[in-house]
Amino acid sequence: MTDLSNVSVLVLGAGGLGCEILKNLAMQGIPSIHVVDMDTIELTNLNRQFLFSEADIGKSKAHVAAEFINGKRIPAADGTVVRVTPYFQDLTLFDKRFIASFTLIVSGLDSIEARRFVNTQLVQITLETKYEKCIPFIDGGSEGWKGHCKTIIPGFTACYECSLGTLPSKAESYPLCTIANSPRLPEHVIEYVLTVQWPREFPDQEFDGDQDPHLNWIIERSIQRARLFGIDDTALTREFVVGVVKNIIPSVASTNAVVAAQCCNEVTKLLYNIYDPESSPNFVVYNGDDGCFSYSFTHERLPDCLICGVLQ
Amino acid sequence: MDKYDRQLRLWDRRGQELLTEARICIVGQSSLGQEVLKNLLLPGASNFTVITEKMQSDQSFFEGGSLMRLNPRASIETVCWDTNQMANKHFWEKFDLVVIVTTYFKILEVLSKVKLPRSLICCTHEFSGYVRFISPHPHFVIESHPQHTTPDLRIMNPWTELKYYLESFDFTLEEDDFSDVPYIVIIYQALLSVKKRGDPVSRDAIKEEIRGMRALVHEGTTGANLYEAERFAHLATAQSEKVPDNLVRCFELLDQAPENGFDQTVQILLKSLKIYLGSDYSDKQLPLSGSIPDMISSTENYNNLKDLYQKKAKEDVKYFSSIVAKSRVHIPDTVINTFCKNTKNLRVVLPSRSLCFRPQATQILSQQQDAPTDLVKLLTDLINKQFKISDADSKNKMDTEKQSNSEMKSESKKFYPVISLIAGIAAQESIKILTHQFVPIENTFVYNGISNQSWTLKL
Repeated sequence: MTDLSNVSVLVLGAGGLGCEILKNLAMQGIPSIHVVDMDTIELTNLNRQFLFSEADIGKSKAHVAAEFINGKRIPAADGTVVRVTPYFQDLTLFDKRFIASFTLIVSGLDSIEARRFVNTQLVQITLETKYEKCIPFIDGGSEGWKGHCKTIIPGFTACYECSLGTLPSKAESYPLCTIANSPRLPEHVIEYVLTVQWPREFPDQEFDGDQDPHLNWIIERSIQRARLFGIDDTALTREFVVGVVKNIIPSVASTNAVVAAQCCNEVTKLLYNIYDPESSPNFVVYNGDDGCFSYSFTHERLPDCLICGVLQ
Repeated sequence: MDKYDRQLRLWDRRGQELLTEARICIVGQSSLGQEVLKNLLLPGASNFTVITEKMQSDQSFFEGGSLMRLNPRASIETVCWDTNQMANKHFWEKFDLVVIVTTYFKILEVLSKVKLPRSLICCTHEFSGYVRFISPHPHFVIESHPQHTTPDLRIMNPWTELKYYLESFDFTLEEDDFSDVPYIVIIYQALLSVKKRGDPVSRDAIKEEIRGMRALVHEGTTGANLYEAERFAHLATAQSEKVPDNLVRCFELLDQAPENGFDQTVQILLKSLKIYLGSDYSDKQLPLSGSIPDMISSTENYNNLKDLYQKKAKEDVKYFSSIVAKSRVHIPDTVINTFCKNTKNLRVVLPSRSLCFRPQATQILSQQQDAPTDLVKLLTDLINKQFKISDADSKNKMDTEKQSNSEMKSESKKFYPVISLIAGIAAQESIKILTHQFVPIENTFVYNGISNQSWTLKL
């Protein structure tokens, strides 16, 4: 029987995936769980982030999540009680020694840069300890009905940096000549108001999509501009405009449950020595909008990877 | 902002309404059942009946109170299994969906004999799990939301107004800078030139023609619309009168739809669509969706083009509605509009007809050449886990569970993620089934958590 008493897992993000990951790890009996998230709770989180309720809006996600799970006094696999420690901060401020204190790291972040930071730290830890210390990094991501789970054994299998090429390209961007001279879609109109009209009108104030007066101004001007060009302005609802300016990604509880479960199942396999880095696929993609599809494969290391390539 | 904003972007208010109003029954009180309930309460499903097997089983993360805060408007009625009451089909009629997670054979035996509404049955065993969609009827989907679609532009056979518009551009005027012309016009004119020369119409011939037009472009303009036209040249040869396979299948199965509710509506709409396609009006073309992709062009040219497509789409809906009206069943205009916009992407799946697996199911599977051996074993284990426990066994099992030492319990802890995963898929399929949006699994989905592989099987 595997002894889990010294196991400590760091969870990155306490959002849609994070809540699921924390719940699963607790039910798996991981004695020591740490969670970091710099965000506070918003109303639109509550259709999936089940560790929070309306009374928690404005509070730290990490703190509320930890309090919720600690309050349940869930028995850990080593006979103690599951303990969650929260960090309400930017994770890129963690130092390497702190990161090196964990058995493994599970990420449910939406930020690519934060993942790259952690990945770099972990590869360096493997390198500096001459492969003695190797902290697996499991990365989950979800969007609408789709998601992925990557299992990274730093220094041994493809690192996060090796797989950057698999990321979808950033949100649609439109040529300036289109949005300035020949807008055709409602998106073109919003983009112009946001990137040209706003800085012209408010040179000293950065646009903030969370402030109603800012949004109202964008919506009003977008409708004006749409009419000017004979573009159907009924599409410019508040939801639509907010979706474009904040680049909102649809999100639903069930997809997060599936993707987080895949990540935590990797944790089980790693902790109970069921995972063979030589043969286990390290990359799973999931899609649930047309039937249900999960596919796993091995993403090879990039020989010239800037982060882990030097190890070879 | 709405609490449900992030999911309304997937299934809209219509889907949300159906989900909120749906009456859902969950049979079984295991962790799997609790996780399914959580995953359905979160997006706003509000009417639940949970049938318990009388005996308390494994430890759960979600107790009554913590579940209710996920959706304070929800009603969760918990009732004990009662064979007398539940062997009667009238008990089940009131539900829109039944999710079965129980492994009690006595209950499953009763359920397999009674007429159930659309149901899902699921189970996990160690690192594997399955979800099965059960219904005696085909399941139709109007809004399948395909990720990628080919626009229906009718370049090959434009209707009169479109033809007139496409021919109104004159590319022979050398002094003219045609960088404001949308690609559909360019492709159409290239097609005309190829035809005029008497050359066979092919994608390559049209591309070649467009490349030739690039030589005419004034220096200083990018000719970006010409590059775009070349990229989309294949749209010229799209056979818009060919009924897509997914729609053919809908036509084939429409008579098996029950004559009530959504299915009756779909049945009438599909029958009307058949009549529509056979009419002189349609010229074998499906109703136009009315939406066109963005194309590099001036605002004015794009708006004019868009207006033409929308006007034609409205005319098609009008004619289609006149056929629907003959059925004497009232179908709201919004439903007809949605149907007409989606005719190219209508889908149907055939769920499993019975709750139990046929005895020879795994045998048949193992005889299929490409069936992985681990899949056969895995499915056999899953079926045994869900169906092969006699009540005497389960009593014994409960006793051992009561006495079980902490080692046994921590052993089972490691499989919790697979329970959570199968509950996620069961909830996702529930939402797709209840909203009639997106396409549910066709019959049985099997997951292997060791290899992270999955299969969809017709068993």
